[in-house]
Amino acid sequence: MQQHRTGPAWGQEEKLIPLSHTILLSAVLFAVGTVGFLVRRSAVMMLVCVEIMLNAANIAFIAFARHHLSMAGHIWVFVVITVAAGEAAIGLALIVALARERGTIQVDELRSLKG
Amino acid sequence: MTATIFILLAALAVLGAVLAVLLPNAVHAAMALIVMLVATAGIYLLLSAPFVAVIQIAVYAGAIMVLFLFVIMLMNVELRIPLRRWTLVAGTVAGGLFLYQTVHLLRGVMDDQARSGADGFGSAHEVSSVLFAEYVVPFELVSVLLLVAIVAAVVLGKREAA
Amino acid sequence: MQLLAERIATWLGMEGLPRQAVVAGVVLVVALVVATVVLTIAGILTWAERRVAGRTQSRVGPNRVGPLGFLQWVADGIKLITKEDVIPAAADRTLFRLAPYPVIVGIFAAFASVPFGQKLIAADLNVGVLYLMAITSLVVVGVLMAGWASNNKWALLGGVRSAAQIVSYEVPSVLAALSVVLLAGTLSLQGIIGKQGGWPWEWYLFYNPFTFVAFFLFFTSAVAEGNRTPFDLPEAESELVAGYNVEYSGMRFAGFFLGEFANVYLLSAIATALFFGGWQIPGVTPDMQAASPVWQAVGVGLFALKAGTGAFVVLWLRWTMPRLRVDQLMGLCYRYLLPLSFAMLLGNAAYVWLVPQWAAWVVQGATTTVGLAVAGVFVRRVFYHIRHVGDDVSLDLARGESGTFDPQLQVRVYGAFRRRHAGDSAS
Repeated sequence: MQQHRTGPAWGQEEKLIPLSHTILLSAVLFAVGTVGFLVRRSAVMMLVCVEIMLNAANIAFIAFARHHLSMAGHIWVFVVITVAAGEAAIGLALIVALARERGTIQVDELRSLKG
Repeated sequence: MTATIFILLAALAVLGAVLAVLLPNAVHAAMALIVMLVATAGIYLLLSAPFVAVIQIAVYAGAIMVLFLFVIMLMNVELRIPLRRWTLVAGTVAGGLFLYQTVHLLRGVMDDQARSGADGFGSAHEVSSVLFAEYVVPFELVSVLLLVAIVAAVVLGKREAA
Repeated sequence: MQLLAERIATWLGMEGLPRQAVVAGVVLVVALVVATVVLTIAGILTWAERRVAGRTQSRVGPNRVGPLGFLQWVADGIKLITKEDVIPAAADRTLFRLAPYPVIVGIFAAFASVPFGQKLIAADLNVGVLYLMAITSLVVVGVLMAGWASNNKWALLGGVRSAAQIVSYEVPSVLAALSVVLLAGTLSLQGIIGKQGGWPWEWYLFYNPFTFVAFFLFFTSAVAEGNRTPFDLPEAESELVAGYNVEYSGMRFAGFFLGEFANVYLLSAIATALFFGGWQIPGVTPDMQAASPVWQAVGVGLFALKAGTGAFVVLWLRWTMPRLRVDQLMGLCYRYLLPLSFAMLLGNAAYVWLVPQWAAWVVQGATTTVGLAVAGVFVRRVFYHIRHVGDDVSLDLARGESGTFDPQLQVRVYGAFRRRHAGDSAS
């Protein structure tokens, strides 16, 4: 079979994504998640924002794992995903209990501990 | 090519996250979060982590978000809680400062020298051989954590009998 | 994918073009081809379902459009495309419009890694099985969106039921599939097929008793995941009208509809790849098949035959089994299927670890014998029942003498049925 690769466009190696790009993305997402956590007043939405932050951390893990070619990052992503699942399950169960007990999930209104 | 796809996916992820934070309706916000999660899975693929990407979609989009949507849709409590202007401003300032600080801190330590990947890096085989050998204790701990979470969720969710 | 792009570009003499454009073009073309194939399969299955339903209920089914009514699905498609797309006034317009897309994307994207043949696969991923499980879980999102956005209590109930069901049954189906993954030592579907052979005793179905049970667990859970009867609570007509898609019409409804039928074929195709040896031909090694285009074609045909049989069984089940109740449905999943699939996974692990090769041969032979015997008895019973109940609908008769609809036909068929069973009630 004749191989005639002409032009440099075909042989060239795919460029890898620079580490700084991924870490920047991770930082931006984490910041967005933080803002959301501070801004949203609904308990469910605060949990959603926590998920955004956890994902930002995961992106950083994967990016560094790729950079250092070490599988440890992947393992910790699994741990984070599992913790996120547990957090969602317990957090949402708490919110359901809260809604039943108080009829609201607005965190501003839950201030009965304040003297 | 890779860079273009990465930028598209990153933009999609950021857009999803911002919408998740800003959309007043909780269901819409959760949908925006799903967009972000799927875009993130795409980024994992680009970073040669196919196994993690698949797990991300299966667990996050398939299970965690369904749980969120369930609670939001069925609880029938305040679907839209308005954002207050001053918290929005304060939050944005705080987040902006945080972002600035992170980027500033990271700028010095970055080396962008990417190593070309070894064959099969990030595949299920690689992940499992590390997970079940070196990291078997964290793995077991996390499974215990999940069990605790299941029990706790059942206890919390159960209605008191009379 | 890039290698494929390169090959195609060389073949077409397009090396002059920039590589990215060619890769993007090839990806687009492959995606379009896969989408077309899936749409065709789903369409044909909608026709097959109505024919099977007809025969099961001793009536004719669609037979006006084309030979045996085969083109009915095209007519239905055209009808649905041209129909008005009604959006209820109280609906959440954005989500209502978007809802069919996750369903379609989830199921169509899964077909990208379905091994239709030894070389006929859009993307052989090294995480194939998990990819299928993950990408199909996007369907849940679409179903919930549809149910909630319709702003209709039946739709919401249907959507929530469906989501709970899909999420729950995903667990036993993945665990059952993992039994096979454990034996094959790979998640790639082509790899799993490669470990099997063409003859039934070389399939994973008959590998040992654990995989035999695992297949039934997988099949049951997959049918439940696809929201098919007897697990079709989400759209239970008699209680929920039509479930999450009750407010949908026109093309958006067609999206859900085709998604459901594509899913039927998808689950049969996965079962074929995991348990029935996929495209392997009896007596032909994969190397021989790779060398000859004829064997390739036979392999593709064999895969389609096996998957088609599976799809037929799913359709047949729908018209045979009564629907479960919600609590029975969840009880079945969590009390029986889940522990059983765990047991099968552990059993397979122990089997791989403990059983020596010679004993494995014996077990394989015994399982094959017993399995085939059970299948034989089942088939015999089926034909026995068909003979006894009667199969009076003659498709030639249905066309009538003059080739037009014959109003007397129903009466005649019923009369034949009555005559045949005249003695039954007396005894």
